[in-house]
Amino acid sequence: MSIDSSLPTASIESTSGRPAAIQQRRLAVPWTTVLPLAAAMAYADGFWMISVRGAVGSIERTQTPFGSWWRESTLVLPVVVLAVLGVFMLAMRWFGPVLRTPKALVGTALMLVAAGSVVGLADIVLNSAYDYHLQSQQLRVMETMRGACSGNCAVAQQHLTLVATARAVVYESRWVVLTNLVLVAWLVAMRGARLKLSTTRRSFERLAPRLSRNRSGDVRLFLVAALVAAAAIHAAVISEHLSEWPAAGWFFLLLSAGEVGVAAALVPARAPQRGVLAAAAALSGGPLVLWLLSRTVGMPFGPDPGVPEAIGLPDCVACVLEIGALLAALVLLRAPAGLSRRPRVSAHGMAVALVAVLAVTAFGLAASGLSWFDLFGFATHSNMSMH
Amino acid sequence: MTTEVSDRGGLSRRTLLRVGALGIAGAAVGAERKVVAPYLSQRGLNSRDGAFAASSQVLADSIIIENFPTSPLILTPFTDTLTIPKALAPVPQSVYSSWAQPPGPGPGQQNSLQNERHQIWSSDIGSPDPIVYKIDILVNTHAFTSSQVMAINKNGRPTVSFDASGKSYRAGTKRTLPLSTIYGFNGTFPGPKINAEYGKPVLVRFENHLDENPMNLDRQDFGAPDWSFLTHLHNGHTAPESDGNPHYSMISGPKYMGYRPQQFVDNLYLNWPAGNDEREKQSFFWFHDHRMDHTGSNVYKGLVGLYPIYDPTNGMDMGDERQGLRLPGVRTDNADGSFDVDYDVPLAFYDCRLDDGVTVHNDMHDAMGEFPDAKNPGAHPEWWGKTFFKHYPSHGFVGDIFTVNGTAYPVMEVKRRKYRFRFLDASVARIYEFKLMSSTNGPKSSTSLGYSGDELEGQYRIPDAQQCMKFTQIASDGGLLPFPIVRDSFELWPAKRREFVIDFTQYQDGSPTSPGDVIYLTDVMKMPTGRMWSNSSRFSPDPNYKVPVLKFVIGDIVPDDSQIPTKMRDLPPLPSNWKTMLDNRMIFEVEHGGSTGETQWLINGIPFNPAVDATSLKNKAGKTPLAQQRKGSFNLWEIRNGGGGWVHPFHLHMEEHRTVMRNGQDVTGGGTTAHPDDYSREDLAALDPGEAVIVYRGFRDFIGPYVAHCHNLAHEDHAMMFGWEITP
Repeated sequence: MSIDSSLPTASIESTSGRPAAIQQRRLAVPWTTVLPLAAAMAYADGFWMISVRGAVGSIERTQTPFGSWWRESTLVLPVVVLAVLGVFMLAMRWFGPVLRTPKALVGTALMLVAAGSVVGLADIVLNSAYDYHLQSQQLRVMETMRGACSGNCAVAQQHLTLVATARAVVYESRWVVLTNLVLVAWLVAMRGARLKLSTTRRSFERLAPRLSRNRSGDVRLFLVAALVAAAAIHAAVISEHLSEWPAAGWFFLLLSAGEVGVAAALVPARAPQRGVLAAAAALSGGPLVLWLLSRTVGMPFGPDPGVPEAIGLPDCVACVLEIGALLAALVLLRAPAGLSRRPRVSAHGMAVALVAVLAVTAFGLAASGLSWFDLFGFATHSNMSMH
Repeated sequence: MTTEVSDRGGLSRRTLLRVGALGIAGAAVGAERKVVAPYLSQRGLNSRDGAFAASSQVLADSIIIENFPTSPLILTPFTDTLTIPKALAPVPQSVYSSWAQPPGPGPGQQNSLQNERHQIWSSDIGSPDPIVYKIDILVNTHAFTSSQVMAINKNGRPTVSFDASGKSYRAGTKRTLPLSTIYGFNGTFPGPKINAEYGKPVLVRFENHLDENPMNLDRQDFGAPDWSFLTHLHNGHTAPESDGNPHYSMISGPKYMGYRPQQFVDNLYLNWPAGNDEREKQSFFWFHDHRMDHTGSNVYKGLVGLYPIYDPTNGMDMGDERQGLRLPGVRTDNADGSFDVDYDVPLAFYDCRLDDGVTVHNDMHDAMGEFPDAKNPGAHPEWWGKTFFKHYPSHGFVGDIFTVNGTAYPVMEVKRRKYRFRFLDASVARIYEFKLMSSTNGPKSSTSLGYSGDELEGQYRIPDAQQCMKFTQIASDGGLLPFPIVRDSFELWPAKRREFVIDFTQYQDGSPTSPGDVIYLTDVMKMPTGRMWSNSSRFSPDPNYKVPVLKFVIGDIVPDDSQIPTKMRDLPPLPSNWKTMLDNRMIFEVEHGGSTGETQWLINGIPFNPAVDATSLKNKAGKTPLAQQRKGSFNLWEIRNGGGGWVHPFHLHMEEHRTVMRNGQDVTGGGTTAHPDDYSREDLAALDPGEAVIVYRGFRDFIGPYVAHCHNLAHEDHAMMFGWEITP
């Protein structure tokens, strides 16, 4: 593998004491460290999140807690990976690529605990907020159904529910922090008090050797990821749209296929043809324009012409991905040569970008109502609203 | 970072850290196996979902503080005589025919709103005109004991008490309990007993006078706030308009959750077996309030009545031990048309909790503005010694004083002969497991034995008690069994009935009893919350938990013409192809949820909606049928306990059922060890955590809406109910 002298490098001191031949290598992400840390915190904090839901959450989301736990923790996992990568990048900046002192090790470990806890708590707060939203709706439905309540009792019950939820979140937050502290400490201890912030193994380069040799390759890799992710979101809503309006279903089918096709065309070429990049821009910008029309003035055709559609999380996620893909495509179209001369993004930075795409996509898929991903209980909740 | 090697023992610091971390992980796994798993298993939570349920439970306990008072200690238990209700006298025809709105089969004659009629009148089935009773729903007072009491706290130590004016009395003061305010059928608790007979229909006019409060009693903060009621004869084979169920009442009749003050309803009990099949005859009903959302509080406030039903066909079971099956009973026909049966004793068990004057009343219902006069949240010293109720408890509601027929720790002198006892659990949530025990030293107060907290429930224990007699079970919810079952102990779940013959002439070892001998009916199931038991014979028996509930004192010998039969009532046959019906069965799963206002439970993911019929979960045939059955049809219904460490006594209205499968096991050849009387007819499926039963049931004779629900009344009142319907 060639060495790019323009990249940030570090002198890695091996455990055998040999400094090295690897001195000039670009540092890579130590996934064997990042992933266990992130997984441990994601699944442990997920346990507390499901516990809060079981205690005070919306009743229709409290069934099959084990299934909910592993599904939802898995979906949150990329976000925790982002948090861990962020801490690693910060620690590298502050302490260097190798944690040489106990202070640096403890500081990094505490930052990991803090970052994991922030994500875990955000997960609990957001879920609780969504639960409270559902609970408020249900209270209004029940009040209408029974009519037994005098005065402002729905509001009073909402208040009690909110208070219970807030107390549960506050109570559980200490367990989240404590759990993360124990897990990080245990994992660091299992590694003999080592925390590897970087490695010399080049995972991305092995995965996509043609894409990752310069800044242009990095942008191209991001573009491929964004296109594939957008295709996944669009594919997830094909069935729904087919049942509503077959033409829309076919549109999303073709759009997904096109995005996958263009992404595939971008991978093997050393320097992608401008036509392919233009197609990528069109497949990203076009749906954005359509989305904007459909959410503002409504489409002029279809089952409800001229009626704006509701904004949903999946389409917002698709938009974010399309904006990312569009920008990447435009950057590649405008200055491919300049980009090739610029230093590569660090492996950690590239990992953050790609994991961010993965995280956003996961949430988009979860919100699309696919049965496996029914993160938000849409299926159950639609049953509720029938009554 | 360089490797650091220790000279001491040759182990590096890093290795030590790794070994230490592995050791901690090993210790955690060991603790999980030794401590956590058994703890969860005992509570039915040792499953993938159970761990989450347990964690949620701990969290809920931490943030939803549920304070229950500790009732004052009854100082001299087993001195009040057991109340055995006498049969209610019917209303003479000359009287009821002169009522402004006399009962009858015509349009508008079924209730005071004049908007319904009886679906089937007695003459339609060839029976005589109904015997008419009138029961008024009244506000009144009730004394649970005449004994002096002493206020104790959660640690069992004497504490202050109060009176109605709020004046306090120092710790250790012996007090007389104030009377509790009740809503009662004819103003009594338990309410009247109607001795009924098959072939003789009964019409009961239930009339609401709860708006009248001549004694100006403090109604406290429970009981339906609008003073409405709905009476259900549990589990009469009854038309919807007389069934007293919310699915009916919200769409017909009162078109409300119950009948309001000054309204009446004529409930017609045809005393006619389902499908006119002799094998469907039952033997012990009870009637209780079923007002939507307030069944628990109304029942707890006293709306309980008894309804033994006899079968005069060939004298089989007519309360005369000289005829038919010769079950214990000496019948006396009264001049007013009623009859009483000696040695045939109903026992209604009910646990309550009395206010300690310092526990804060704080309930979701306060937020609904139902009891504004109570000014909750707040403590109520003026209610000290009166019944305390929490309508929306996190774990169900259990009391710490056990009563029988309205009296705490009563005594009954029994003759040296056989008796028939009709056991009924009229509690909100408590499950009992009874044994007959004798003791040398007698009961000791739990406080004197050093117990505190939940261990004080029951107030007394008999440390040296030993089982001395056995029960012979002759009937369950659905009536007489095919054959008697001899049992050391039995569980009594809420709303369940079990009938037993107890022979007081001899002990289980064959030795004779003597006058003056004492036997205690003893509860050995520890149930600290309404969720489920913590200890019972089936799960982690606690040899120290022996709570005496009723004291029998052996008296004189008297003639006894009764016998314990070897064969009683055959079960209705199952179709030989019942297994082919499994694919198309209806499936209903009960699930616990979080705290969303009044909704704590779901069935098939949906809270109770009184206006609609429920929908089955998808069955093996791939269908999700509406809970509707054609009149005259039979079907299999599956009831699943969705888990979470709760037990559910699930009650299906209208016809009793027969359990054919429990947890996937065919039980048609005999019940399981845990549920031996699955081999009988029942109207209530006892569901341990995570259990599922499939029951075979018929839908005969009537059409219209009914309900099925959990008979843990705190569950029922919080949406664990579904509507279903019989269609023409």
